[in-house]
Amino acid sequence: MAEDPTPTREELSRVEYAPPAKTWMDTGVDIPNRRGNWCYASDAKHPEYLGQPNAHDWAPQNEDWNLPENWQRIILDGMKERLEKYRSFRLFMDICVRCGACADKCHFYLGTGDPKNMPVLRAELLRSVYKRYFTKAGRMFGKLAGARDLTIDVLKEWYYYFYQCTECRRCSVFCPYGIDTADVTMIGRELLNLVGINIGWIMEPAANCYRTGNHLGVRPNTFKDNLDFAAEDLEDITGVHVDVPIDRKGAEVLVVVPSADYFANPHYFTFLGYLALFHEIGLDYTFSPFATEGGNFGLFLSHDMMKRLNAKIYFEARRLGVKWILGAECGHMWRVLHQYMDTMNGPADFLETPKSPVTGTVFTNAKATSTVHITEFTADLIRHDKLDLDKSRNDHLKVTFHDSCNPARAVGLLDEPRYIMKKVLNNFIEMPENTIREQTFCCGGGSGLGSDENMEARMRGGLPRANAVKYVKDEYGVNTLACICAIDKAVLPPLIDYWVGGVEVAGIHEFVGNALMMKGQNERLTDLRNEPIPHLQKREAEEEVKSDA
Amino acid sequence: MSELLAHLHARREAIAAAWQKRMMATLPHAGQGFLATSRDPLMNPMGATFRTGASRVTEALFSGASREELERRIDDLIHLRAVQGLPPSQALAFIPELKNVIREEVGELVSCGNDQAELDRAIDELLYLSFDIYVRCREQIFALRVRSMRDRSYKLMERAGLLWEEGPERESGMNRGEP
Repeated sequence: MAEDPTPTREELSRVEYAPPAKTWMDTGVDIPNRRGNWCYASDAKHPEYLGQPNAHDWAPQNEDWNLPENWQRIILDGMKERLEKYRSFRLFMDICVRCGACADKCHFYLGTGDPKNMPVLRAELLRSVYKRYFTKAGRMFGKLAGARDLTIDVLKEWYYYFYQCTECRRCSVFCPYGIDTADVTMIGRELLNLVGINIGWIMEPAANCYRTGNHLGVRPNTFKDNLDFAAEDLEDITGVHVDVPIDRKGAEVLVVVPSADYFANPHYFTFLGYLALFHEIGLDYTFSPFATEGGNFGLFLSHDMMKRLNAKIYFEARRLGVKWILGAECGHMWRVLHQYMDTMNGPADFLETPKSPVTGTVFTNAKATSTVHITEFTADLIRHDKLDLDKSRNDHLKVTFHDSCNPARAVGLLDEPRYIMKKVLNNFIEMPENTIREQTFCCGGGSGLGSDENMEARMRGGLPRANAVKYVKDEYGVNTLACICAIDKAVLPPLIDYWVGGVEVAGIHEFVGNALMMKGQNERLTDLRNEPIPHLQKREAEEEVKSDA
Repeated sequence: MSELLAHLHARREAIAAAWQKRMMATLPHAGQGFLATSRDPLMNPMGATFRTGASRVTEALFSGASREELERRIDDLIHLRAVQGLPPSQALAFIPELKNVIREEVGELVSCGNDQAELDRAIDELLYLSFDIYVRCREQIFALRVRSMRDRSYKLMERAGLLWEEGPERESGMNRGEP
C-alpha cells in the first residue's frame, strides 16, 4: 500500500524558502520571471537608423533572441579588438585580486543582495569569458581557472547585469587597484550591441539625438516655442520680460542644457532660474537650435556613439562663432564634456579660454575644452558679489544635496554647488558624510536605466540614497532634495516618493532664481514653481491689515 | 493569551534574531555575508530594515499591539520585500515563517492550549495586513511609472493641451499630492 502523501505537521513546517546555494558560475537568470528588473529591448528601427550592427527585433523574455548565427565569433572578435584598443580594459581584466573592497559598495547589491551585483562579480561575468578565450590558464584549466564558455546563458547574464549597473563608479573609489567598473560595463554593453542586443530607453533617445538633436526628438521650431513659453512663464512669475536668444551668430557664449530642462518636471523650474540669471547679468549668449541636448545617450551604448552625438556641440559653437561654452546642470553630460570631448572631437582651437564677462575671472581649468559648468560660473558671480540675492525667499525650503555621481566623482564638482546653496538659502543640511561627495550613492537610474518598466529595480538600487534622505528628513525636517543632474531630477522624485515621501526634488538654479532680486520685478510672492512663499505672503497680509487699520 | 505573550515577550530578542536570519536566508546565499553582519543602517539599509523590522514587529506582536501599530512597524519591511523581485507568495512567506521560528525557539507550547491557536491567528492577521501593504506598494510602483512618463515631457504635453484643465489643482503645483 502506498504511503499517505499528506505531509505531517513537522514536514509542513520544514518548507525551504531559501534559494539553493550554487556557485555563481552555475546560476543562470530566469529573465521571463524577473519582470521589473530589466529594460525593454529597442525596436530594430532605432539601431538601424544609427547604423548599428545586427539590428534586429527581439525581446528579453523570449527564449530565442534572434541572434546572428555566428554571434559568439562576433563577440570574441569584438573583445579582441577592444583588448588591443583599450589598455584599461585589458588591465581591468587581468589585475583584480578579488579582495572584495568593492563588494558592498554597489547600491544595486545593497538593494538586492544579489552577489552578481557586487562589482567584482559583475566584472567576472566578462572576465570569465576573457580568461577562457584569451589566457593560457583559462584555456587549459577552464572552470578551475575561473574561465567559462561563452554560452547563450552567459550572454543573457551580461544583458541582465550590465543593465543593472548605473556606471556611477562608487565601487572604483574603494578599489585599491583603481578598477573602473563603469568602463567594464561600457565594454560589456558595446559587446552586446555588436550582436544587436540593446535597450529601448538608450537606443531611441540616441536615435532622436542624432536626428533632431535631443532625446525626445523636439524639432528646432518646437524648441524655439518652448524657450518663448518659458520666457512668458518667467514674466508671469517675476514681472520681468526676458529675451531668450536662439541661433544668434556672434554671441559670446553658447549655452547647452540637458533637454529635460525645457520640457520635463521638475527640471523646468531650474531652466527658469538660468533664464532669470542670464537676463540679470546681461550675458551675451545664445541657444543653438540643433545642439539642443547636453545629455549624451551614446555614453551608455558605445564610445563611438558618444563621439557622434557629442560632435554637434563643437560644430554649433563653430557655426555660431561663440567664444566659449556654458554647460547647464547635467550629470553624464558633464562627464562627456569634461573628460571625453577634447580627445573625441577637439581640439577646440577655434574657441577661447572661457572668461566671465561679469567678473573677469579666467577659467583656466577649462582651457582644454573651453566649456564651463554653470555652478562654476554662478559660484564665481556670487564670490565677486555680482548678484543681488535675498536668501529669505528660500526660507520655506530645508534643503539637502545629492551629489550626482558624474559631476561629483568623475569631475570633482563638490564645493561649487554647496557654495551657491549656502549663499542663496538659509537652511542647508548635509546628509551623513559617507553618503555624499566622492562617496555619494547613486539615484539608481543613471546610465540609461531611468526607464519605467524597470521601476522595481530602480527602487532597490536607489534604496541607500533614499535611506540617507530619510535620515535627514526625520532628523532635521528636510523637505527638498537638490541635485545638478537631469537624470536625477527625473529619477529621484519616484524614488523619494516610494521610500521617504514629503520631499521635493529641485535644481540649484531654481534656488538661485528664487533668491535673485531682478530689476523691475513685481512683489514676487511666489517661487519659480508659482507656489506661494508662505512667510512673504503672511507678511504681505499683515501689512495690508495694518494699512487698512 | 497573556501568559503565552508574556513568555514570548521575555524571549523576544532571541525570536527576533532567529526570524531575521530566516528573512536573510531568502536572499541568494553568496550575497548574505555583508548584509547580515554590517550594522551601519546607512551603509546597509536592507540588513538594518530586516533587523529593526524583526525586533519592532515582534515587540509589538507580543505586547498585543493594535493593528494600526503593527502596520506602522512592519511598513518598512514590506516596502522592501515588495521590490525584491520575488513572487508575492515568497515575498511574504517570512511572516507565517514566524510560527516556525517561535516553535523552534521556545518549543511546542503544549501547556498553553488555546493560547497557541490565538497566537497563530495573530500571525495570520499580521500576514493579511502585510498583504494589504504589499498591494499598496505594488500599486504605488505602477502609479509612479505613469507619473514618470507624464513628468518626462510635462511642458510639451501641457503646450499640446494633453494635461488636466487649469484650476486650483494646477495652480497649487505640479508635483504635489498623489501621483
